[in-house]
Amino acid sequence: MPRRRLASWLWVGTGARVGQAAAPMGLLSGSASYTRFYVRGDAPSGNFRSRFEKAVALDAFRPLAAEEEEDQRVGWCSIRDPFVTELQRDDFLFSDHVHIGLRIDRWRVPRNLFKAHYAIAEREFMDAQGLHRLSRSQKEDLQVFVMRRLRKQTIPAMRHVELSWELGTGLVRIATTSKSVLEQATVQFEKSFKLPMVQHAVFTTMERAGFDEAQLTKLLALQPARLHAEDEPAKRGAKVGG
Amino acid sequence: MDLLDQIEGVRFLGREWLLYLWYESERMGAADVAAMRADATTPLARPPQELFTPKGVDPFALHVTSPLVLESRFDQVERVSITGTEPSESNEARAALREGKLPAKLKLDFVRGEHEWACTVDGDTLSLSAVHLPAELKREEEAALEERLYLMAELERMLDALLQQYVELRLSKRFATTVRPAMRAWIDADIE
Repeated sequence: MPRRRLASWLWVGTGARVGQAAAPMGLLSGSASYTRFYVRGDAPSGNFRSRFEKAVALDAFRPLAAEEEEDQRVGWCSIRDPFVTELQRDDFLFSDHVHIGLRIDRWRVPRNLFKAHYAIAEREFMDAQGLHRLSRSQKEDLQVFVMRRLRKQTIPAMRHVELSWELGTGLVRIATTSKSVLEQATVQFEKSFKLPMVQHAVFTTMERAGFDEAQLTKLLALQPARLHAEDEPAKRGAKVGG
Repeated sequence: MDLLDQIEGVRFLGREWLLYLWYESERMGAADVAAMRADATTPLARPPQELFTPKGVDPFALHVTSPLVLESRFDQVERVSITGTEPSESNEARAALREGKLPAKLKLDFVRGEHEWACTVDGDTLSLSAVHLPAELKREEEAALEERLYLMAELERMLDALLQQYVELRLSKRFATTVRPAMRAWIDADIE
């Protein structure tokens, strides 16, 4: 089995746990779950390919280290393999698409485990120093120490999110429906590619369908339809229409 | 008003649209879904012009399947999830509608010739989950991905055309005079 493929099945040197959360949600295969976004503005032009290559290299995923303060790290990787993080242009940039993966690693030390280890460390420290209680700064330092020690005994949880961008239409499919992951993905996208994106929604669909200014104004004036007896304003006190 | 406010301002239409799809798919019935399949031997129960024919896409059949998730418009904690073979035709589903709940998520089957798609649409975010695409033919990695994206785009075209059709209907006088009373009657009708 090739190393890259093997890496997907094991805990490897790059240090992340391939758990249930890491399983891709299927732009590439199987049942898919995804959310659509649209890049605002014109399609990329000029020397965008070399610009994108530099941007992706700059924001490529770097593994978390126990000594660092960060709880989480987000960065680009291959759409097919979260352990491939050094991407060449041909790895993610195709004739009219960008196909890329977003890797999100996060330290997840269970709260109860941390509290138990902290209590032991606190007792040992006070005994060693002959103290009866710790100051706030001593507690904070000890918390950092315990957290780093626990991080060294565990590995971060990993999430791999597939992203596919149609350069011509501006459509971006992000293979998740999780609000927090979508937020991280859009922040990373806008940071790397310097292009704003907006989520697919009723309003944006009508805009893209060619609704003119008058139709969009009429659309924005709509109120929820009264489809049930409970919707009557007198009963609910809510403004409804239709 | 900025774009985000505009998006939020009409987000409620997503759930209304799902209810309309449910209402319309029930008017169509499972017999039409079967008749839309390429190998169908039975004729359409309804005339072809009454199939789902939004602008810009070929006609297709649409069927609501399990599970069905309904939530109160005013209180998200009030959530009902109905499973079973025909959840949309259950008394529980109709009772939830009468209580003012709307579909928060709707699972849909699309049939067009030999192609069948399935997906669950979120009424608030319009995210798609559990998307099943027609069987793919291409084996080579890049070609298979291209084919999958094409099939996703086909599904999205049908969904977007249905959404546009609903919004245009919603903006017309016909909605208030004909469609809304018919939907209310449908909600209030007893299930046999």
